[in-house]
Amino acid sequence: MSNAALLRYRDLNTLTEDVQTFFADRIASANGEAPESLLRLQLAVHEWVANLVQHADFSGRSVLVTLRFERFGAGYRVAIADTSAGFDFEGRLAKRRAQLGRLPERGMGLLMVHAAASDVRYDRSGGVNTLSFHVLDDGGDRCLDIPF
Amino acid sequence: MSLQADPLGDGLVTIAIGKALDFRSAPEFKALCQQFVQDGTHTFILDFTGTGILDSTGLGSIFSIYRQVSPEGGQVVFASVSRPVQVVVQLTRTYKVFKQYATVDEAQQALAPD
Repeated sequence: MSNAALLRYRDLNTLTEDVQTFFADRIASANGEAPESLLRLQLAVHEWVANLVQHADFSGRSVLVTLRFERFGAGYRVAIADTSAGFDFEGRLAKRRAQLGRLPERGMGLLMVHAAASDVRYDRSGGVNTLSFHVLDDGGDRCLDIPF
Repeated sequence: MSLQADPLGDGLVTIAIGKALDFRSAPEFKALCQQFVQDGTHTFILDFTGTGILDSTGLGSIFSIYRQVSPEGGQVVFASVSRPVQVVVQLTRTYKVFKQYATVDEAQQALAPD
């Protein structure tokens, strides 16, 4: 897989499938040897894209979602920017964490991003929201702590 | 959507998940499973052969089915778990809830009544 990619999407109807195809091709080309960090990267990006498609408010705005990632020594550096109205990321994350029940049917998306990635940040500036994070080759013992 | 259900009798069904179980396909998966539950199925073998994505909504739909069948002694098990799905299983520790089998055949033999 190339060490960097910059992808732009303008159609929410095809965004999920396009991103899924992008990662599926790269995972397939690794012939079963795709590093786990790439699989966690795929998961984190998918969960964020799913969040955008289902919940982001793009009304009155041109839809633009930009996915940028690059390989660095210990993993991947990722930034996903969008032109939606944005939201209170930290507040929503805290709420989801507090509400997490025993066998949750909903509300795990942001928590899954947080579990799969490191150094997760959400910044809003100049009409653009950017989620940035790292996915490290050594994922350690990260988990989404569901209270089974 | 590429869900394939294979009822095996005795309250057992195998469901091949296909390419993805995510926020787009979870409603259809849940509706399919609900139908089987209403018809008396209590044991679900989920075949993850070749599944490229299991996201949080897909996992939530599996929890939903498990919540319905487990009080009556029913089970939900995973078979032929692909690497992307295994990442989710490890991240969420759902191996504590859902037993895994290497193949669908192994799951069917283990769960078929004597």
